[in-house]
Amino acid sequence: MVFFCESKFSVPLHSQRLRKLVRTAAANCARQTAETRNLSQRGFVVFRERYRNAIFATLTLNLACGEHSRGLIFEEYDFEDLEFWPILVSGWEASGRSLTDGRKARIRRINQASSHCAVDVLRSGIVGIEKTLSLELEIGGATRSKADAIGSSQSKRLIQVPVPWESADPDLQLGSGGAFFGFDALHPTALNNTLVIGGTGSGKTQSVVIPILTSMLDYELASKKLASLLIIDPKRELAQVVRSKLADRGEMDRLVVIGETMPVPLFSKDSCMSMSDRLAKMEAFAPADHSSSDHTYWKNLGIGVVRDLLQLEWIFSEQTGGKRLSKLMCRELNIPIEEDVGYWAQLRAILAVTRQSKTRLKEVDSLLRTLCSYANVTAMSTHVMSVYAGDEELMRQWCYAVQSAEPTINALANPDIAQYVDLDPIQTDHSHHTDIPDLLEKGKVILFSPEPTEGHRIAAMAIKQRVFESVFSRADQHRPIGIVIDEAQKFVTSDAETGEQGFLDRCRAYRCLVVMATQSIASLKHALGSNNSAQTAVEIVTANTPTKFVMRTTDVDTVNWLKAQLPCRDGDPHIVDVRRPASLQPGESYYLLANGTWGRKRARISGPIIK
Amino acid sequence: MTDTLKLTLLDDHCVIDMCSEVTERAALEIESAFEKLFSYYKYERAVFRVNSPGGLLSALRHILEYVENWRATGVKIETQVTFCAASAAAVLVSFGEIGTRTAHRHSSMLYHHSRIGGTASVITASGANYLASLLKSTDHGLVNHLVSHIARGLGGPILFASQGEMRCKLLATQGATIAHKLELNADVSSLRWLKPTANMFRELGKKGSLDLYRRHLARRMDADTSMDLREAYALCLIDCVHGVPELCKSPGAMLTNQIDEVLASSTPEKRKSSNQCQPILLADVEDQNSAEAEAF
Repeated sequence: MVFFCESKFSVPLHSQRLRKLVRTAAANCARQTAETRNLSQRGFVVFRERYRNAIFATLTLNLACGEHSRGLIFEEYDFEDLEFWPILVSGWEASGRSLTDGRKARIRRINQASSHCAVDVLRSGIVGIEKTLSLELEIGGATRSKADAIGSSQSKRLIQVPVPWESADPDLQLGSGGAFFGFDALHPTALNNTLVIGGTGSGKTQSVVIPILTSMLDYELASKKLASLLIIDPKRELAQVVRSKLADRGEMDRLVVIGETMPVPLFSKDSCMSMSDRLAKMEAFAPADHSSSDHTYWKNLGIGVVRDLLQLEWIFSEQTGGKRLSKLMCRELNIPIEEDVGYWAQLRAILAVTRQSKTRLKEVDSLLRTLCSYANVTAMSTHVMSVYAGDEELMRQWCYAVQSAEPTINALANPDIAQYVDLDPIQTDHSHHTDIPDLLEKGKVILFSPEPTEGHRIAAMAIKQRVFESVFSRADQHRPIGIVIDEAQKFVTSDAETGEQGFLDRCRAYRCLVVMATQSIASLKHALGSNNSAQTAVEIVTANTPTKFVMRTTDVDTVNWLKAQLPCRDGDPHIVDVRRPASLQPGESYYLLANGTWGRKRARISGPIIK
Repeated sequence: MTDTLKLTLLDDHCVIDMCSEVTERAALEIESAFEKLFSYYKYERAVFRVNSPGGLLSALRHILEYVENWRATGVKIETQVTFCAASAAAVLVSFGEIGTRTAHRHSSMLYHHSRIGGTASVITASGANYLASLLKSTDHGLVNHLVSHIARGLGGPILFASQGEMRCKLLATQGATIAHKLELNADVSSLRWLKPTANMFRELGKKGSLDLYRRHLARRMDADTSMDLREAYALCLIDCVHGVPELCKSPGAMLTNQIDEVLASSTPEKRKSSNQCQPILLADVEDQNSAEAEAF
């Protein structure tokens, strides 16, 4: 195995200095060869890799014989001597699967000072090294140059220039006879980012969500462009409306039902998000954290470990042209897990191995660093496990940290999600995926009716985030986009990039109307967690939803919030104190529109609106 | 809350209690109260409880103007007589939302024409003539306004006439029960006014002109005597008397039934076969309303 040498001889195979030497020497050799043979850039890269592999294996072989020999190597050979390396490499290559006598003698001479290093031990080491070399070649053979990586980054889609609503854009037709809280039609800017709050049976779906949804389905610009929509409908109340409306319009081909399509990738292949951002985004899918500060410390530590491993995964993939570190590790660790279970399940399995014992942790650590070194991954995070393998106390800390991060990993590894969303943070192929940006470009209506399970909840959040991201990057910024989320407290997130608090303040300029219906402010707070940033996120979300409808509710947080939203007259009791939201009739609502209008009215709507 | 007005703010509606004369100060306070209740508190329904011996015509006009303005925004101003509503106050009550104008069974109401109050200056013959013409013009305008409001609220002259006839019929058939509940003695309980009133509504139904009602009401106001609550009910000046369930039949429901009947009988065959008042469509009612308004 890869770590055969290490476990057998207990000698660290890799050190920063050694790797540096190997890289320098390999580069020198390759440059020399390239110059003499007049090779192209590609040829240089190939030669450099070959030299590097050979040199590395040879040095490893020598190091395996003992600490003492390392000094010999460094003393005996001048790594800058370009004559030495081609000979050594050609000798190694000539040896095939076994070393010739001459080479053995050479190696013996190298290790002559090492009295306890027997030839049979060397032979055993060589067998291990050959396997190592085989794996290394598998990884290293596909490594990409930095220029390639830069080239790929240039193809990333950036945020497009927004095209805000114009006064000439048509109004949303919301009913007749002032049915929609006294209005028949409103300009999209007046309904910009709508937050609907109301208890069960308060009529928020029938009175607010459905009229806006149907008007969005009908909405058409002068250029005949229809709006694209995402509808998350956990209560199955909107699905019927959407289907009926589209059938009525003869546009059933606009409907895309998530679950009947290929999974949606959370990240695009060319996403410019860093791994930290990606993890932060996915961290939002985990159950809300309501624990003590002590637990938060361990959780942060655990998430830090996951972040380091994710970073390694990404660099490894970049360096090896798409090969996956976690997959290789599972294979090398003989973890009985299916190959296509996804990154998070693999990571969970690897971390489970590390928690078994200090020895296992060391083993995994060694494997990780070996594989990373083969892939030329030099990030500091390759030592993410090393620091915890020192003693029992550190091992316990490792276990605490990993255990604290487990809810997040478990949530992401949920197999129920796979049918709807691909949560792999590193996407390499989109051929078997549903392309959300493409659907938005074509004016499609994306409908997702999640079941009341954790997996479906996460899938809905992921799809929502994907749409959020696509809103800014779509090419056709003229086409309006509607996002309607019923029971929004179940799907709200607070990550930096595509959390509601970050999205809502920008989407207005991108012709995006968001309608979020939720039970109460308290439910939003509960969904986002108890920490300060989550609390702030709730405040930002409510601040960035200038259109608000508060229906019947007894939630104290909502009432206090509403009180702060509405004006007060000097000397008179506040309207919210006088006319309590708890006394609102079904369909009756306090409303604040984005254009500053506010009031309290009852929508004249009864029963489901189909047409 | 002031000395003149008391506001009670409830969840779904508010109550304005007025216990004073209809003065300019009261009018301004009512204006302010309306602004607060409808503009800030967003009430869509207010109950205006009146206990007033009357007051200034100018103040009444000011109040009515604001009542009309707020009504145009969709606000419903219901009126109630608590103890007494005389003169301007009685007119104010009748200007409430049709179908919700109520009185208590012990309330008293007085409808009469406007008068000149005070003796501060000597009135000359020419001055008296001028004042008389002014009063006549004012009375005419006020009565017209009131009649128009009632007729419009009841769905037009034809439906108004039908409603009046139904009320008269109710009083004729259940007069004894109603008088008993109103605790009226035999003299007062006599319904001398009922037959002329019923005839007036019958004629109104046939001709479809509100002049008959205007003249009838003007004559009644000339009498300058307290009006029996039953008569106010029959004349559609109020819609309900608390404590007398018979006089609280929902005119709205009655009206709906009438409209349904009208619509049901609007087919040509049924129109021909109908011997009752000429059936009309809602559009016809609106046309008539607008014609009436123009005439006013």
